[in-house]
Amino acid sequence: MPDWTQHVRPRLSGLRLSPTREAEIVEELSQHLEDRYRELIASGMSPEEAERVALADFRDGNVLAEYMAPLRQAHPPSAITPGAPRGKLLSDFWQDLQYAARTLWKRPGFTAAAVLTLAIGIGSNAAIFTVVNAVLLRPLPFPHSEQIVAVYTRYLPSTGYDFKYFALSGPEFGDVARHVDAFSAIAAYRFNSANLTGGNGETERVGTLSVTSGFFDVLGVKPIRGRTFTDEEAQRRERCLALLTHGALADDASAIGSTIRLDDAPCEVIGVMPEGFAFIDDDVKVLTALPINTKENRGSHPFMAIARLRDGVSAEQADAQLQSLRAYWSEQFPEHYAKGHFAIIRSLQEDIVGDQRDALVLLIGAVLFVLLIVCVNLAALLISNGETRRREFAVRHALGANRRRLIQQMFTEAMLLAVIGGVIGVMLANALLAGLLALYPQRLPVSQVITIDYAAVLYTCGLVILAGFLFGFIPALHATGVRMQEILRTDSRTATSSRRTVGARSVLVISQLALSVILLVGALLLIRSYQQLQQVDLGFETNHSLTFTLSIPAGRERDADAARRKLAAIEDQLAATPGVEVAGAISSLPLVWAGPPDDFAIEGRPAPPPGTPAWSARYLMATPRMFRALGIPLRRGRLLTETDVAGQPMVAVINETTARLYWSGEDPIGKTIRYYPQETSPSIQIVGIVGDVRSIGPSDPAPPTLYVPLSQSPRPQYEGRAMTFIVRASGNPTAITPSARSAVASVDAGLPLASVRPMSEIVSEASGQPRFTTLVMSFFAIIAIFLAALGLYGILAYSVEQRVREIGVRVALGANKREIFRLIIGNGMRLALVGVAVGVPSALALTRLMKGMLLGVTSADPLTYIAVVGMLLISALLASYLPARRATRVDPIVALRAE
Amino acid sequence: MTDINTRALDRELKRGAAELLILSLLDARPRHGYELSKLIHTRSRGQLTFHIDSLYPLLYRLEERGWIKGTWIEKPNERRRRFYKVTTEGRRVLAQQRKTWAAFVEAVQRVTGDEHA
Repeated sequence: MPDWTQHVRPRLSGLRLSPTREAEIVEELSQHLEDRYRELIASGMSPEEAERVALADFRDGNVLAEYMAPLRQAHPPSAITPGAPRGKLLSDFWQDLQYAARTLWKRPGFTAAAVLTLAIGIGSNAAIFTVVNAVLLRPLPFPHSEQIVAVYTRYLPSTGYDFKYFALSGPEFGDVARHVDAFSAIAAYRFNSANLTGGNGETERVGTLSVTSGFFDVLGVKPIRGRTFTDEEAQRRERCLALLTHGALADDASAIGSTIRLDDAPCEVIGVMPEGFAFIDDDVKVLTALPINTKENRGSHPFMAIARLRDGVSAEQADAQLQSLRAYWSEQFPEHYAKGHFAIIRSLQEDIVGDQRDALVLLIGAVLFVLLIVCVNLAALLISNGETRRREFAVRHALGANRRRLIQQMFTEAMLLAVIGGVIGVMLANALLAGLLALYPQRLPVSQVITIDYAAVLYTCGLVILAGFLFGFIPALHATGVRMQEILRTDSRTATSSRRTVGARSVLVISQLALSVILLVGALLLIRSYQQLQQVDLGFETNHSLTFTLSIPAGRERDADAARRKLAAIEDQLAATPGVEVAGAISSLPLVWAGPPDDFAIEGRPAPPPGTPAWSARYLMATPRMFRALGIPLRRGRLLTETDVAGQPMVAVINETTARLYWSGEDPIGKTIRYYPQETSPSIQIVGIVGDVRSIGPSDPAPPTLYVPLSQSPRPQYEGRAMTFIVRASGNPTAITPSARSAVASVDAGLPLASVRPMSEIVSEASGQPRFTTLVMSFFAIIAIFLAALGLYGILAYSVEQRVREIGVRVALGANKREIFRLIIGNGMRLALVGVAVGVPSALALTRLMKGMLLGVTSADPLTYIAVVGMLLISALLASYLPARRATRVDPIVALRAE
Repeated sequence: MTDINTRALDRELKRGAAELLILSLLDARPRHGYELSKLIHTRSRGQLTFHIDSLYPLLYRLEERGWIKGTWIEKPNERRRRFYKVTTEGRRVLAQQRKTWAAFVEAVQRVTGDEHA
């Protein structure tokens, strides 16, 4: 029997059938011929004749192939060339993705560099953006929080004071509430602390917040259980009513109607606030009513206030009403207001986070610079990637891939890089955020969980890809677009193409170097300024002390003198504790908020005329041993002594600033002063001058301060029931905490110790914000210089690779290794110098914006600039070293043969 | 007529009709390629002949369009054969083509009838 397949198969050979399909067709047609053949034999033909007749069914000229050609199956089932067009979006994408993964896998150096760069850019930006979003951008967690404003009074410098945001007096608060109808609600509040005793009898020191009844309307928050108090209840002082924050006591449900004790005074719980409620301070556990006297004491400013704008009323309208109130005040009470004291508002958000803004804006700026450097680095990587792959693109183009498809392929690669970089970036961002939050010096505006904001990640990702495209994709278009045939014919590494690449990359590297100069200058200025801050003499001993606060409420000790005696007894007990060198007590520690200063009059001297600054000083109560415990030196006269007790003439010690401000050219010792109200307050004789203490902050000058003995307590408001103890230990201060506790307990077992911490921690916290800014900024600067050095290294390594032949020729012509080495190093240093030349003026211009954050250095500090230029040049040298060394190892024979 | 022209004419004439023929024959029951070619030859009393090199490309085209479906079927003591049957879609097309064809034939007859009248 004839082999029909050998007649069928050749006719199909011109078609691009898949092997299985071809086999099927061969089988089917052979079967057909076989059937025909058998039939012809059966009809009596000879086998030869039958075979001839059967095969004659195939006409001349391969009609079969001609008819088969238009069929789909006659076309290749899949493109052999990656990147050849097939017109199926999804499968194309899948193919591209697989190809991209393979390509990236095969170029681990490029991939690692790109992914790492992306991850750093995305990670650091997402982390900073998240913090900024949480602190500055996210609205406060109150309904229509944009309507909530903080109300202050302002003292213009013409009054002799310069307070931008000062508290309100009772009558001022009453006037604002009555005259300004732009507010739908207004409330006064005051933070405090108290000993809270719950149902189980345990006592703890907690934050408290006293508010007027409008508070809940201003914030738009209602208790989740129970009720708030009425205005009338708040003004009537006989009954203490309290609202608890969520979880303040173990069981919210049974809290309503129960009685707690605040500073040992009974207080009825009437409400529980919803979970997550926090106003400015999330340590607050109890809200109580704040009675407010709107008739008397116009000059005394104890109240903070907030208000809510009516719907549709703008802050400007409210401002206008406050302006007319200002006119009314100046007319009615010229002695208080004529010189420039009036009420103002600003948004509550601004009020809470305003002081954190500068630092965060600086960091945002810095992190955007990092992002820019990242983009530039990525672009440089992509450009050289595109260049090295020109030949590959040309080959694929020749094999049937069209340009659109090649671009699509590159796009897929970029996307894959971005996704991998993004995933690692998010992980990095989480780690960075944890670090940032741990370092973050300030209380965040509200207690809220801050997690990586995926919107921020997406945004950053998008930004990086976009920038990557702008820089890297256009050259890639170029790479795929021009002279495909030419590239195939000649060599891909033609002089022109590599020179153009090096040119483009040089610009990128220079901009990277310039950007890192700016960041380095910024970071170094902050570091130098922080160093200065650390070297500032605070005026007191910051080490080896443990501090804690004790409060003896009226409910525990009715008589204030007895309370003070108890505190003195505790001090004695502490001093006698083994391991304690000295123990003292003061009403308010340095670097801890002590409230506004108090005015006084100097006896025998006419009072300052209205409108000129009043004489004022911080009024601090201290025990005689406090000066030794804090290490405050005596300058003249004497310190407070054990004999300065009640019944003896009242004495005080002042600091040098007070002496200089109010007794310049005079000897203050022996002079007497009286506090306001002058009529009832006893006269106090100044007996000594002590060293200045920078008690506001390390960068602020020492405020005028006056120390009076705790045991004399010259003013009724200052009963001296709460004092902070400073216990100087011979060793580690925290180690004496248990013995300090038992010393306190031996006098009164029911007194809780509050804010137990070493003095060094308080000092460290005081420079928390600059430390945070400096650390984060330095981190970014390090990333910047690292990436810039990487970029420089990249371009030099690339150019050495491209110039192997040239270097080979030079060596062959007698250039020695040192000359070659100098050539490459010289290239690197030239780029670095141009980067410096661009970066330094930009840094000079930009760091001027940092002026407010610098202490002891100017933004044009020459040492800083010298150091930055030095650092940059050294990094450039290091980055050039490896490529230069590689260049010296070029073997001329190998180099010339390689091409 | 040259060989090329014969082929062109063959293609043109058969384009519509051939599809109709195949679909009609397969409408009754599944058949293999050789059976189809024999049926066309015998039923047209030798007037119509499908060559092997045009029949199979036609079948494959109809299959690609989804009008017919080929399946390899093995019978005892025989080599396997590829049988084709009409798909649902094929049946819809067949009904359509039958109508068109009838209209076409009627039109042709009217024209040619007039000529002979």
